[in-house]
Amino acid sequence: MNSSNPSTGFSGRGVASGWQLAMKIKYFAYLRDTTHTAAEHYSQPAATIGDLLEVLCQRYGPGFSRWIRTPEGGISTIAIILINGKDIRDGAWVDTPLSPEDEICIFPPVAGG
Amino acid sequence: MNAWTGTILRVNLTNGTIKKEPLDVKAARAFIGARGLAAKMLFDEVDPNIDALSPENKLFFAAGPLTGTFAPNVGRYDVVCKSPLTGAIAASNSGGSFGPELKYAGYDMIIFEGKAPAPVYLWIHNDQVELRDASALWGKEVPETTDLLRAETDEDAKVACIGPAGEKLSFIASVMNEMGRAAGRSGVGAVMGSKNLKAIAVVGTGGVSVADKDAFAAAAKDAAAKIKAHPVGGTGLKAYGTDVLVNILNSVGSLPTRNFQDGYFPTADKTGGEALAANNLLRPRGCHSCIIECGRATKVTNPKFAGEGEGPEYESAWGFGADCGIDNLDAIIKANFLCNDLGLDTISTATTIACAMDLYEAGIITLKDTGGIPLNFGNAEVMVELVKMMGNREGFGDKMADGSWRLADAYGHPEYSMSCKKQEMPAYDPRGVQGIGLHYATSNRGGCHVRGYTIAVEVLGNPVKMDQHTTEGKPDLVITFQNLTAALDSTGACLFATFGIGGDELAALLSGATGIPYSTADFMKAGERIWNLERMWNLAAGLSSNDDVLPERLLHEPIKTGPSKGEVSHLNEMLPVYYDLRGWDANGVPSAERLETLGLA
Amino acid sequence: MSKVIMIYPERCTGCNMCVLACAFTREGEARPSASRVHVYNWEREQFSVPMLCQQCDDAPCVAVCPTGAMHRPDGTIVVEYDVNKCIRCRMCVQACPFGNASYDMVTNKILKCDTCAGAPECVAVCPNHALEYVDVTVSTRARKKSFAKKFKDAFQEVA
Repeated sequence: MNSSNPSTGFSGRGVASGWQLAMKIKYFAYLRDTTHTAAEHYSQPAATIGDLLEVLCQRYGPGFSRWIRTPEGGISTIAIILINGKDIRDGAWVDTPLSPEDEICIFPPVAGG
Repeated sequence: MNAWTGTILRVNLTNGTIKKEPLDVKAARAFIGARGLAAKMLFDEVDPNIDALSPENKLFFAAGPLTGTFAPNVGRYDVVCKSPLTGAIAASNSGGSFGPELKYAGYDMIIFEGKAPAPVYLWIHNDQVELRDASALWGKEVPETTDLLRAETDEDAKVACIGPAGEKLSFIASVMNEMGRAAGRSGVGAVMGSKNLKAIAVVGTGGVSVADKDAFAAAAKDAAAKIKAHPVGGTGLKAYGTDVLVNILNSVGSLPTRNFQDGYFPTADKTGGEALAANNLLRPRGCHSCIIECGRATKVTNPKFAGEGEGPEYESAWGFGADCGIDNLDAIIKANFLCNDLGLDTISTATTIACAMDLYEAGIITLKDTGGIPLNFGNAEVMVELVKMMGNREGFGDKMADGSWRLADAYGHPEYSMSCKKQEMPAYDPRGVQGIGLHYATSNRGGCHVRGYTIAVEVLGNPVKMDQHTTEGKPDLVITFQNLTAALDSTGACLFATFGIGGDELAALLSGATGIPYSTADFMKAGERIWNLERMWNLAAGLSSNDDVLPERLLHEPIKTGPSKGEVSHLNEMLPVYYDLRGWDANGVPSAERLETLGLA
Repeated sequence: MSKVIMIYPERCTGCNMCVLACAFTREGEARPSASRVHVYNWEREQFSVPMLCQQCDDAPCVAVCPTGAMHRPDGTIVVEYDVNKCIRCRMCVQACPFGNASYDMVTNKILKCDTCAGAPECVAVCPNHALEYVDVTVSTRARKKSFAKKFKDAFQEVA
């Protein structure tokens, strides 16, 4: 179990240190190439999913953001973003508020059949 | 002719005659080819009430007008007949290069009639076509059959054949081509076996011409650019295969688990495309003219499940995985290899095993029935063993070899079979994704996802996103997907081309290739025509709206855990709307007016 | 002209788009037997190898051609084929150790890659960069020859 890094708020698969609740973020497919982990906890408050994605794009750089951002700089609507298993891509979804107990799943645009 | 070769082979296995017939151009225009045109010919030639395994059934191997052309992702053919599994029309679609090779040999389609007195195979070398003795091949598995046939015919022959499962008339037997590609569903392999037809080997050195080279080349270039530019078609499927869906479906709580007892499998990640790519993938593979490359050349080194071969794709990984409560990817891959070798449909094989496990845990079948084999969920060794037993009809495997419905019904509990029209449903829980449930219930070949893949919209958000849990708008969505796919299948194109192109591009390709101007509306109408024709044949075969149903479990037992906890399917809200939008009456019978509009009256 | 088509079999998925591109753009129909590139698939191993003319320095097809139809214009590295000088003796087909020259009965001519005059269609359509059109440098030529040797050895072994 890693302890939380106070400067970034990220910690490994375990729960972040201290009393603070931490949201769980799960990564899939290409995103794991840059995150090098399938899941981690984040203890610093991100008010909305848009804010969180911004933090993650900064943290993981172009290898991550290329799957999340559109070429115009917006957030892609074919990356699949789930909050507690619910697909939130509808209307002004980037403003969806987050709470510390949320579990967020982020998939780059992939499909099958 | 352009696009179509203009010639059909008709092989009477009873008396050994082989005839070349001209293609009915008018029918080809209306029903396109492959699935659609073969359905039209089945409709005209085969009494819907025959026994599917009798000599009266006919077996069509049909390529489409785009099959073999220089367009992206158009290498496919369909195997069409009456299905022993469902009693409905079967049309199983496969890739590889068998379909293109058939076109290069000069044929759009082969029709097999009757039954050979002893095992035979058909050898096609351009215009030389002959039936040959296959008694030395009978009993052989798919890879050995393929190798032996090549040694006997031509080292580059493309071979489609059945394995032991098809010979032993398993209702869930596939037809395999080039060892690893499957016309998997609805028991088409059993129909081939019932005719004593072991294989077809084909070598073609001709070509497929197109009517307007410039227009066709422009349409092909446009289609290729769109597929490559799309993140899914261009890169995603090549990197992870279709198995990348395991985590997506699980994360939205719609990964059927333990025979659809639940919709969430906590350790699913161990069986997903990411794990497959990290641990087992040798390289991606593509069918003829494929620029997507979802095919998986894989290897298992674990001695218990060692092997090398093709797969698994998503439905197979789910079926042998979450649906059996198993998270051992090595065992899942091994089960897939065995299905390829024995000639079994992976979806129906896996879900029949899941059904057996469910019956066992419920105490309906016991160790006495299974010959002492404990069938608990999660037992990977037993799962792999059962695949072998099913393919060879050994022991309890004999009872399982005709699918989950026959198995469960034999013990008085057909409700344990997670099937529609007695064909097993694939890997998307209708309780968590409403539209796909409506599609399963109404699909002309029973439980099946590839005739109306609403998952693209309901889960993946491609090209638009709809809420997976609502019923609103879903009947319309299902109908659009069903019609589009019917037309697409009939061209010879791959469903995955739709991760990049749609009706507009396909109509342009078809127009350039055939010289017949198909508008997008014409193309979609052809799809609707094919769908209704299949429906009419099924109704004549004795199916009715009573068969447009889902298992009771999905209507009344909510998903227990995960993000879709508490959900059930609302099929009965959607079905009347679907009938109405289709122009069918309350009993699901197409109206005379609609049939007239479609040229089917 | 100082570019050649390099083959990377480890990237090939066996899709045959190169074959179709060659046949369609050069001969006007999707006829694999009219292609100058062929892809061989080993189904058990699920491995595919595209094969096409390697533009040999010391080219047997040129050496054996009695009319000069197979020739290397001065200053180029591509062996070209002049259909007007060809008497269809097919000695080039016999001579090529890789089988990369073939005779097409339909068009009555020899099929051999000429890199589409510097814009090879097979390379353009390959979705996996299993074929690349690259400058002949010392290193690429060494790479090319090492691959060519592998194919040669493999074929000698099975012959």
